[in-house]
Amino acid sequence: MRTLEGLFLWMAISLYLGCFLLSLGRVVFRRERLGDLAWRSVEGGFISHTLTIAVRWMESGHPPVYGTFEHALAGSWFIAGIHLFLERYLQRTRVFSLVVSPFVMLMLGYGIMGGQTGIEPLPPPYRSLWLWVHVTFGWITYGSYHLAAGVAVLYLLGTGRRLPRLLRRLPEPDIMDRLTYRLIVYGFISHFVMVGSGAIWAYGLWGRYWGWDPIETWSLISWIVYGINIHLRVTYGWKGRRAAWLAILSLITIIITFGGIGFIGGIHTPLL
Amino acid sequence: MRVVAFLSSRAFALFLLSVSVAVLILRVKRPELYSPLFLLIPASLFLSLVVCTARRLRGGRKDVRFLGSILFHGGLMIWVATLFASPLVRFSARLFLVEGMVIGMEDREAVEIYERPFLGGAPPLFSFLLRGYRERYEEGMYPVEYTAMLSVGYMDGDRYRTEEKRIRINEPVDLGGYRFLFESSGWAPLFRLRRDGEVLFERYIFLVSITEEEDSFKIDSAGLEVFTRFFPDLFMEDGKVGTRSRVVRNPAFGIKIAREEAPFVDIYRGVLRPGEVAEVDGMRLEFVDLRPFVVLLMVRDPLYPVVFAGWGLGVVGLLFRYGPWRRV
Repeated sequence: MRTLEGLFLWMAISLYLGCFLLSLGRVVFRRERLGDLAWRSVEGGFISHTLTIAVRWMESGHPPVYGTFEHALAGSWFIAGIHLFLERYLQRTRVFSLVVSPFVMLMLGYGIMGGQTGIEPLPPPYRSLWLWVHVTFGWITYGSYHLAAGVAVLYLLGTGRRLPRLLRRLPEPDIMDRLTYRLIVYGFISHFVMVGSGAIWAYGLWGRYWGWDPIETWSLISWIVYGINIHLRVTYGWKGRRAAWLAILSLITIIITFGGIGFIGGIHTPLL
Repeated sequence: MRVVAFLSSRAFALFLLSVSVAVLILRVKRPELYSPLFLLIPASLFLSLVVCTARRLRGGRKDVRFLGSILFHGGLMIWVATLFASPLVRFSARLFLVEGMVIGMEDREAVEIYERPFLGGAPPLFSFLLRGYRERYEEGMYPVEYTAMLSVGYMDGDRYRTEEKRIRINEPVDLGGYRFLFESSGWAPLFRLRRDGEVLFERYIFLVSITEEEDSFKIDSAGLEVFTRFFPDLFMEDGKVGTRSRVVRNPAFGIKIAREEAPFVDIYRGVLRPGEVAEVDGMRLEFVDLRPFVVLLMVRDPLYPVVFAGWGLGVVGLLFRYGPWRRV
């Protein structure tokens, strides 16, 4: 990691931490001003995060798609970005920072701990336009499902009996429920594009579109799990707490799929 | 009617999807327990999709979202169908080509055929020649390009044709109706083993060319196992051996030789450069030559466009189903 990149990265982590503490303060002390400050903080964190990616991209000559650190950097950027995007269209979603900012911070920390912060050129197998499509939709999928689970957690908290004070700060339960569903659908479509574009890329690289690689298989498993999720909502009318639990439990498959890249082995682990 | 109702029920579809998840997890975690009988699940899924879609098409509701759902499920049906049809028509092989050597499809040491079309005939009569291999590293360590020229000779009707194209990773070429893909490459040493002038072994060996990884090969005619480590740019300082970079400037192999019956006892240890000889138990192991090799994949899959048409149909279907449309 170079100096400028490191500076922006640590600034982003500090601002996300600030956002979390201020969001918590807002909920606990019921001070709206703290909420505004938290929002400024997450916006600042996202700008620093973007600058970190931009600096790294310029230095390496490729998008952040290679190695644990770059995956964490890009994945957390998508989560924070979708969170900011949602706020533009839905009122009272700023409070989601309470779950989003610590998660983004932890992901960045996990990336740094992975120890692959050095810059390397992309190996030949990665030099494909399909990589862009595959990885971009992969991260949209990842961000959408994580946010869906995050909103589901807040839904459960907000509709629970133990935290009535928090309920007043959250959007209406019905809005959160629909938002969870929409994020899952959004993730599901992106997931489908990710799988298909990966298959096209694989056909040009290994002469086959599917190889039963562990990550590929887990990606298929998670896609089917989210398909079941949507079916249960659409055809069986699941919603509310049941659907929220389902959104949270389904995320396990995504954590295995994305968390496994670089660890499980197989074709998704860079070898060349 | 009851059977049709059951097959097209949502409960059955959800049951099949749940079982698919369980089987896929089993496939990842305990592959040894996987059985071809599990193919009954996608077969049932296909049947359920067909019956369910047919019933829905006969139903009343017809709007953009409905059309989207039908398209998406149609795409899925194509995917599942190709899972079964693919082995009937697909051909795939792996070719190990040493630079400057002509290889024919009948060469069992250089050509491994994995899939033959069930409905097809004999493997095609091709010959291959690799030349102009080049590899490029940034800072001497990070690979950025592997490339070579591939000449393919084949029978086109009653005429013999030759075509030549440059091949690179991620840039497949189509020649003679087949697709050729650059999978990997390395450096193949030609080792010769002699005892009393008699040649016991002489072959180019396709060994791992990454210094961090050890590789091995057996010489059955002499009962020996040879362990190797490739140093593309050898340095030897204070008894230590290593490589300065991944660029082949001063190539050598670190060699350990053991008898097959006692693999942990080395009878020879040393470093060999091209042209050097190791004396082992009254035998001479000569490192005769070093040439680049490329592992190519040769594929023909007539269903490839069908699979991606299914995928495209699925994406369009999902966009129609969940897009901001109003019912018409």
